Amino acid sequence: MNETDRTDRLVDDYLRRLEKAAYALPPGRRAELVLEIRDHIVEARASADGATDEAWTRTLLDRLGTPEEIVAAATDGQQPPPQHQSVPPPTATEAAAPPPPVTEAAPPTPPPPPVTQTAPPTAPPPAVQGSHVSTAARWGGLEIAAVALLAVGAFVLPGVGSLIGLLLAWVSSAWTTGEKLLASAVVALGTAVPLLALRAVLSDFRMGAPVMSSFSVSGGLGLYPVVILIAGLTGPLAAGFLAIRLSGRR
Amino acid sequence: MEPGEARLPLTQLRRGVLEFCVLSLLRDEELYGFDLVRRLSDVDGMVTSEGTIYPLLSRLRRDGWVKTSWRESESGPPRRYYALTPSGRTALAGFVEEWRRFRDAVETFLGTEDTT
Repeated sequence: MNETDRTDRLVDDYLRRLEKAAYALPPGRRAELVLEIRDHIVEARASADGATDEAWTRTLLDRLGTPEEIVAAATDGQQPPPQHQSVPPPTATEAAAPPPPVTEAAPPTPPPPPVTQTAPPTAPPPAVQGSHVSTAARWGGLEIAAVALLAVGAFVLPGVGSLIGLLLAWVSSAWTTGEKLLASAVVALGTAVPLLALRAVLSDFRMGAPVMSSFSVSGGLGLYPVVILIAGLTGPLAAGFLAIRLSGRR
Repeated sequence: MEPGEARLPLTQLRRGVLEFCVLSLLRDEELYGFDLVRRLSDVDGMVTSEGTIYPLLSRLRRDGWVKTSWRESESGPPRRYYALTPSGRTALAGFVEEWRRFRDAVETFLGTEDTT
């Protein structure tokens, strides 16, 4: 096993331990925590001056603390309020994070010491003060609607469903501009292909060729199922991509 | 913790104060997670486990004291930038005032004792 494999394995083991330790958290927050720690490691590697060898990696993980310590900080003080679990995550989240244990409401940490004051009495009720920031901070109804419309919009509201989904995605700040552009390009492809195919069939008409001629059957109508397939798949494809990008950012 | 009885209360004190240090770092600029964590841990005695700052940031966000936005980075995964909200700013201002009083009060007792 070479050096890179060894350091990758160190990191993988660490993240796996973290994911296991974080079972007490609601699924969205667990996925978010693991993603943030992973991004931290990636950023640290990118900004390292010297070699990111095994010793360097061990130091990095030591500085992060044990997975158990990190999870204790997440469950310490405030129990996760139930309303954070009421929003159903999109299906892609389940692929990224294993299903929650039945005991998720009871973190295994002891009750917090009385000295620790995580939320001073001046803290505003999050439901009031945090409502407008929350759409920018994590995903909610807007993002779910965008993904859902992209996924099934082409079938339920042909012509406009996907476009509304895209519009919602652009309004949301949960995705980066690059991700939005990529999703838009995919949807645009799905819209352009059937239009081009239609044009090809129509020009056959104009040239006087009967619809049933072998040319249009193979060149135009013969391709019809493929065209429908492309148009029908690009929406769900874009939706899946956005949902996966979202899965850890809660 | 065996070595030194002073450790445990200090750990708890640090944990309570840390979130206001985070808010202070965000007073004038938006920072992304890794940058924020390194700025905190670069100061000796502030942070013992860097990883525990991420749950803290998550809590600050849920409390509505900070808000976040995702931005592309040239050198890696997209970065989540943290910014202070008006209510976070108010909370910070309140804490700073309380903290100065508290610090002076503690110093009244401790400061007279040892300057060895």
